[in-house]
Amino acid sequence: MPAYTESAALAEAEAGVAWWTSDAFAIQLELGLGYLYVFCRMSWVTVIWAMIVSACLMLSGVHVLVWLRQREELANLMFALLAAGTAGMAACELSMMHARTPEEYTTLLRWFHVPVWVAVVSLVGFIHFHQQAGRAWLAWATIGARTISLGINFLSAANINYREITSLQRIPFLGEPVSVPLGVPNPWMLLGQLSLLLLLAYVVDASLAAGWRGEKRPALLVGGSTTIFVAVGIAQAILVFWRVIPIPVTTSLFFTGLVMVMGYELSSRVLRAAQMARELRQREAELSRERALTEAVFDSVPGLLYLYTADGKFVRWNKQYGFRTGYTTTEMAKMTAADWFEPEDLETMRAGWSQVLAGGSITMELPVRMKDGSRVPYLLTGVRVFIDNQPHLVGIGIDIAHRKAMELEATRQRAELAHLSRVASLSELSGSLAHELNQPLGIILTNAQAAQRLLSREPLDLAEVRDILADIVSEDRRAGEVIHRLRALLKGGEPKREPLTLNDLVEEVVALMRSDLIGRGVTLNLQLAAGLPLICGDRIPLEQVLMNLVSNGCDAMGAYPAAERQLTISTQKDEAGVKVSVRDAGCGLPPEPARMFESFFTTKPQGLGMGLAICRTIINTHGGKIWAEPNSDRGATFHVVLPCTKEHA
Amino acid sequence: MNILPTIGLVDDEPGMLKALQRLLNAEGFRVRAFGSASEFLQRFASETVDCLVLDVSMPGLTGLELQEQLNRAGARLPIVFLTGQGDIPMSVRAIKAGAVNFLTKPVTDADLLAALRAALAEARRFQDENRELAELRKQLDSLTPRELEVLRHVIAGKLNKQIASALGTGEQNIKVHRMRITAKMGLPSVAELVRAAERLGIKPVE
Repeated sequence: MPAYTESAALAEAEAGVAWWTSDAFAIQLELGLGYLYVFCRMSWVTVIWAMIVSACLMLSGVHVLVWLRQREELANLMFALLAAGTAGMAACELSMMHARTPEEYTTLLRWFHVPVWVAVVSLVGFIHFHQQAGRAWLAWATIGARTISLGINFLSAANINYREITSLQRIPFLGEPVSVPLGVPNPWMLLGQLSLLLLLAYVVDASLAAGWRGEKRPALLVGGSTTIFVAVGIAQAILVFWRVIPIPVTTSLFFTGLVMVMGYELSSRVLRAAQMARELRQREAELSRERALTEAVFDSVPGLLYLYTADGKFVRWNKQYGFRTGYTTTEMAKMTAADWFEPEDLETMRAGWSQVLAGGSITMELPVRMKDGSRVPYLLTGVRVFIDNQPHLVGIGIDIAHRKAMELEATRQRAELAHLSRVASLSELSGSLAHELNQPLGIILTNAQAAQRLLSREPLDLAEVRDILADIVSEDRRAGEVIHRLRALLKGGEPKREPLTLNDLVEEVVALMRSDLIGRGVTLNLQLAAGLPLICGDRIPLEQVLMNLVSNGCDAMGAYPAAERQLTISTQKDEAGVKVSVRDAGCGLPPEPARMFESFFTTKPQGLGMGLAICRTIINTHGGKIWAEPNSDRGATFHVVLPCTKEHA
Repeated sequence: MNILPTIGLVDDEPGMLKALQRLLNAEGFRVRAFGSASEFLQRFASETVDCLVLDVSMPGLTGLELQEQLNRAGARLPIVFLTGQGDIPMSVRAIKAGAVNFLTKPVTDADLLAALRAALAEARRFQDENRELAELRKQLDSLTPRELEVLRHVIAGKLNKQIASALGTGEQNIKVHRMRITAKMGLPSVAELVRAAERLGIKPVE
């Protein structure tokens, strides 16, 4: 060791020499190695084997605790037993290496087989519980062979390895002399070694099966390491006990290797479990946040929110539910879905219910019964949701009383508008309508005066007078019908639904407008298909639509010579119901025909632009369709399709 | 007009047609009823009527259009119009075109019969005039071509001397022709001749 001074070190530092090549470092390294040498003289065998025992016992203790906390984790118990067995093996080996007499060695070797049995059996158990694979008969064969050899071990003269240990030989091992036996090998030892081979086979089998199953990492780690350590252990035992090489028994070393690998595997599982627990906690936190949010959303929904089981049991509801319906929570908890509806609505509700449970979703409008017995119209929705694998119905209910009232008001206003427009169009027709009334009145008057004259003549022609009276009656009826129709058209009245014949509507309108058509010089052609199905609707508005279309057609032809003013009204069966078409030979449609049906759209100088808009509203409320198309030659045709009633005529 | 007068009825309304027919029959008229203006035009030639009761508004040809057609054809038929919705322009148009009356339905028998009587009187007047015209035509036809030529000069207000020189003959010859014309036509004065020639459509020389 060269002399070293501070000044030299300073000189080196000034010269820029790196610290690891400096003399100062070399001195410190030599000092460290010196301490290690002193430590080594404490006997390597004792140190290592004692460390094995303590490490294995600690691991065993830890995993016993783990198992005590989680009794279903039998792999941990098996691991604890394996570690304990290994510790026992190591303790026995250490004692054997320090044995002074053959008798002492014989006894120690005999007891050595108890921890070996524990280790083998617990290893089989560990593989079984950890890999969840391997043939059971191999496992039982291993345990059986090992147990039998343990029995023989205690029943035979010395132990299963030797019939008799004659003497002990002191050989150097890890720098110190240890005892190895000399004696007659026991042939039963083969059974013990067979059990180890069976163990090897079981481990390989189980690992392959686990590997095939897709658990590559544990199969490789546990299976591979077990195979290697067991194989080496067997090889060493054979070599030692059959005296091929003179070294002491160090089986516990290999088992310690096994314990370490499996300890690693188990602790990585513990780590994974910890990780999962952390994630679980996070998720739970998220869940509780979500739950709080959901509760808030539930209660802030401006309506009912409900969750029912498939058989109608009320499971969840929001605060609004009680607030709106007037029921208390305890009352609602006893209620079923059917309790909320009137008996006449139950069929509709049940139909929707089964639709939801079949996987569909519903939106229906039904009155919901409040606690005070009142009925409030609600828009109810429902979808199927699975909770604990059980189908449930979840949905919301929105109070639509206000909307219903608005709808009713809108309907009333529409009817009022239609009525006003009807009155307006009738006042336009007033001249023609007066004629329509005058005609029968004139006929009655003339007939009556003719009869007066006939009565003053001789001979009295009674047959002729009777004919005259019959004509007077029929003409009077005709006048009455005109007045009746006019009154119906002028009356506002509630909208009603009745079965109607399209052809009747056309004929009534034509009867009212006959004079007007003549006055305008329009020739009317009727092509009415026979046997059309009935439609369901309100007679007056539908007649208004036809009047409007006829009147429009006449207006469109005003500029053409009278001979060309041909208006055709035809009825026919249509895919969607029945169709009435009004065809004119007039000036045709404006550039955007669809716009004609908008309010305030007009091409007439005096037009309000409401006629066709009202027509469309009327037809829409009847579930029908109205449109216009240009004719191939001249003019346009307006079509109206109305759905038929279900009861087919 | 010694036989019953025949009245034509045109109305598209069968009930009205029947009622009017009954009334007029009861009043002792013969009635021919037609359901439309075109039907009347078709049968008009074969079935003569003395006057016409005509509905104004009918599909196809209207009453006023029928009146126009008849006037164009030169048929002098008195017409009483009936209408359900008459207005003043329509009635003015009808009366200007020669209608006897324009009645609004419902019409009383008294009004209708009064109008019909007026129409028949007019019809009679038309017939008298027609008879006179036929007589004149017959007399005109008896004139020789030379006498007709002289007549055209006479109604032009020419003197005998002027006529003789125009026709290249003597004044005496013209005097003889004029005497014969006066005798044949039975009209002694030039003024009467002029009026008759006008009615017969004979044009004076230039």
